[in-house]
Amino acid sequence: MKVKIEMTGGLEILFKNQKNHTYEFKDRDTMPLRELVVWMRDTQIQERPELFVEDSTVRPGILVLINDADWELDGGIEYIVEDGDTLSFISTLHGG
Amino acid sequence: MDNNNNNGGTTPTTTTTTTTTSTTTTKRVAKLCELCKVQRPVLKRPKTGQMICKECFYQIFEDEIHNTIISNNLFQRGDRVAIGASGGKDSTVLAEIMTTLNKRHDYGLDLFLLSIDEGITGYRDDSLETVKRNQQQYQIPLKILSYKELYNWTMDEIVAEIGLKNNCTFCGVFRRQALDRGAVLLGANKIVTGHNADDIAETVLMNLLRGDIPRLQRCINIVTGSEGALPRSKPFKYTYQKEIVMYAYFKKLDYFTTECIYAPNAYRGHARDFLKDLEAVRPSIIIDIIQSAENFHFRDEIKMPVQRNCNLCGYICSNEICMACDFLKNLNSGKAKYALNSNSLKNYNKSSNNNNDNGTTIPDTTPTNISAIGFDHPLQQQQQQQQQSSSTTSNS
Amino acid sequence: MTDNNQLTCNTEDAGDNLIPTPKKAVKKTCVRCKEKPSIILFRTDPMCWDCYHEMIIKKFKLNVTRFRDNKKDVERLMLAVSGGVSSRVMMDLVSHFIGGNGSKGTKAKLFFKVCVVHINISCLDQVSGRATEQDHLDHAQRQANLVRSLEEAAQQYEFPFYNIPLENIYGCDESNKKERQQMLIDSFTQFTSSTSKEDILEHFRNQLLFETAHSLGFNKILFGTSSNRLATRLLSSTSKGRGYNVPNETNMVDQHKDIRFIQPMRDFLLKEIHIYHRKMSFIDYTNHNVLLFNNNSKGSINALCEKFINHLQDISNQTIHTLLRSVDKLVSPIDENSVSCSICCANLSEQEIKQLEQYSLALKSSSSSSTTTSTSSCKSSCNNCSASSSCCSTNNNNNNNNNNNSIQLTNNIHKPTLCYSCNQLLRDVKQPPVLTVVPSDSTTTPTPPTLPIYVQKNSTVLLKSYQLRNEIKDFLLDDDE
Repeated sequence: MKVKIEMTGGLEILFKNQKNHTYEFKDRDTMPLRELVVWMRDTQIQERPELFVEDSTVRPGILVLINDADWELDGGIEYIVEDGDTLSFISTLHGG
Repeated sequence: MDNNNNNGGTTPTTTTTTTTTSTTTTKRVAKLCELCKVQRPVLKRPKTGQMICKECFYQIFEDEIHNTIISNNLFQRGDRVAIGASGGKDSTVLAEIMTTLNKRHDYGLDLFLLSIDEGITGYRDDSLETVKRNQQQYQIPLKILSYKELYNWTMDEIVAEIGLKNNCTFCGVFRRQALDRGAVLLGANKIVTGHNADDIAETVLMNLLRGDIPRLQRCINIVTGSEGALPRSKPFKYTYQKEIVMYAYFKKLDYFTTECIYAPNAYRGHARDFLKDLEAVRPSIIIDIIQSAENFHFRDEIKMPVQRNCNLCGYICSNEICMACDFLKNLNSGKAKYALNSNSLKNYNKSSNNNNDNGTTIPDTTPTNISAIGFDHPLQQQQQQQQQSSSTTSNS
Repeated sequence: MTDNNQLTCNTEDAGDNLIPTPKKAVKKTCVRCKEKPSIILFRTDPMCWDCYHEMIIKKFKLNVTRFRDNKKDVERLMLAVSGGVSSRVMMDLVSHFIGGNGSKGTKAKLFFKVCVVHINISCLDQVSGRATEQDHLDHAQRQANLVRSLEEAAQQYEFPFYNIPLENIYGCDESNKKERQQMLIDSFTQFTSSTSKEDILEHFRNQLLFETAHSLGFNKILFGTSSNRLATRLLSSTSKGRGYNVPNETNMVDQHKDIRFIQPMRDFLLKEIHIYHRKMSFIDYTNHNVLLFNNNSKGSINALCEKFINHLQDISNQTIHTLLRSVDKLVSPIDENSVSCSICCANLSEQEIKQLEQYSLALKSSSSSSTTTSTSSCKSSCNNCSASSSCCSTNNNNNNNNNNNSIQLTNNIHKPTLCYSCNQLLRDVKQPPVLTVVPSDSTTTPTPPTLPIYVQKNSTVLLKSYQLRNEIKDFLLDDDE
């Protein structure tokens, strides 16, 4: 499976200052979002991972869109990510 | 980016994926926008829990702000309104919304963008570029006013002089005046700022935690400042940060997201994290806190400082000279670092908080601890103070 | 002066304005007697046990006696005890200052009549989501120990003790105890979030205490809430939109109709109370009520507030005092027009009263007859259903029909008779809420969730009074013309 990740609102700083990422998991069809964000935290962030993940979910204050729609519509962190999904993480905490 | 070795062995590999494109649509087949019942919902409203589509979201988002403006009588036809523009998400959406609503509902307002350049390299210079692009897009006049022109100091220079302690206090005091002066230069008679519901809820919590009753009273007002100072209003008072960000995202608005390099305010950070935790449990909490604060009643004996004009610059203040002039005097004589820790700030806190058992979270015994926690939303504060003071003095 | 040239190096002071409490070494001897070794740092003063004990009793006594109306009358105090550390210490403090145990100062004892009331919530154990049968048994055992130890303590102080089960909020007829327990459990399970469950528990408990005080003839209830808890409540109540009533809930005294709820432990930090508790070798059977319903990872608003307060207090030990000083500057305006919420008894704000007025007018114009028929039977106030289990047979409305003691959770409640926060509370109910009176032709309700009858009584009485007011107004207007 392949997922597209988009980091905005200041979050991109945590991810090598890049907005767009594509991750491919060759032997997976689906993956729980929880697992994906923990994996991202453990492998993709160099410093201050707590700014992204807190208590094994996305840190409060970070808006998540799944295929351009509010993740709350899809069960939030319990969502199962599928091939071709686009996940957008937008920090609401930065700047005014 | 094929860094998937830690997942490799865990799941049994199955055959090739068949229906990759259709899956996302089939998942949500049952759900439709709760308003139009036609489109696919893209957002769950934190205020109401409604699931709504993009078009309905735009509609309701804009209508609510329009209602806030109308029911609070924020503007009169012919007003010249300066939009405090930092380049951040709130003020960018504010500029968009103000132009849209002004046209749609024929408010008859002259709009201006007003940016304050504090002189912070790598932060404000970048965000000002965003504001300049906004100017192009909305075709509204832009005024940039710098600390350097007004005070002959940039924030970089000030920080070099006084260090990183209390620099936000300096900056806040200067910015408050700068916005007023900039608006006057533009010939504006009103200022709007992008403070949203989350900001206000956060400030309510902060003021409770600091025991700052005068600011607690003021921070909830939608319009602040009058009699000598320009009225300043917050059309986003009831608007959730989440929806502002969503709006900016869906409309692909161009905004700037870097945190000020001098602003690590740990105390406000605590309050912000706390608020976000609460919001995760109950999304309506932001509005609930505002509802609470609007219903606070204060004991009568709380006095407000008496309003007067600064002897040096004429700006409205509660002492012989205003805080900005006081800071400047110290800066220019090279005593700022010392003075900040002793007199000025103490006076400043006292003037905001007239009861002498000053309710900061700081033990009274250590004078260097007198600090102004979280002045990074100062725009809304002093003006209110003046408004309050003028009304209470006439009563007493 | 310019030792801090490196702009980016912001670690050393970082604009962090929350100044940590200096961890300095404390002098070993008591500041008062200057002799004995200190055992506690009270605010900034090291104190020995004797001096601390004396001081805390003095402060406590002051807090209780400042609300005495007439020094010649017998002061009737009902102590509400949960069994936690604070309320246990409160019993001891009360006994000390009125001279319990036949010790010194027996004269004072003549002027005080004290009783101890424990609201027993053991039947809610089934809602708590405990995993195994063994857990339930353990819990039941702990609960029994708690009640016994409270009873023993009360006996020792010669205070009468009342153990009131929470299900008595639905009446106190022993014959239908099981039924009432089920109603209570049903109504709790009906709320989705742990915050709502905790809140409704708090409201029911207060109401039951109120009713108990009435039936036992007490007009003051003392609570053992520490300053930590009150500071937490300030934040949590503010977060739930209870701003108008926050001062009542967190100040020293709250006038609940004709009964005063008093918080005499408001000056004491949990830390100080715990030291007292240890020194007296009391046993702690605490049932952590806040955690009672905490079965999801997010936690409740109350728990989050508590965590936050503890965290800040850890950094600066002035946090709690500052918060409580903030509340001191707030008031809940109470005048003859004050109206209270039918569920939680909080005062309604001016705006809410206005809505209630409009609502009552609208009701009148539509079908006033159908909505007011039920009011005739319940014009007496809440005290007809006594909480103490002995005196039920005289009650007039629990023999007719068991259903009289409860109402469907959201049916029959006039929303404008509830405060903002309780309206939010009812929105958290699993079944879609029914807003106004609906003839019950809906056959789809599987287990009707139930709220105690007091809610409906309050609601109807309140509405009736407004409708009456409207009628009088109309009458006067007609007269004018």
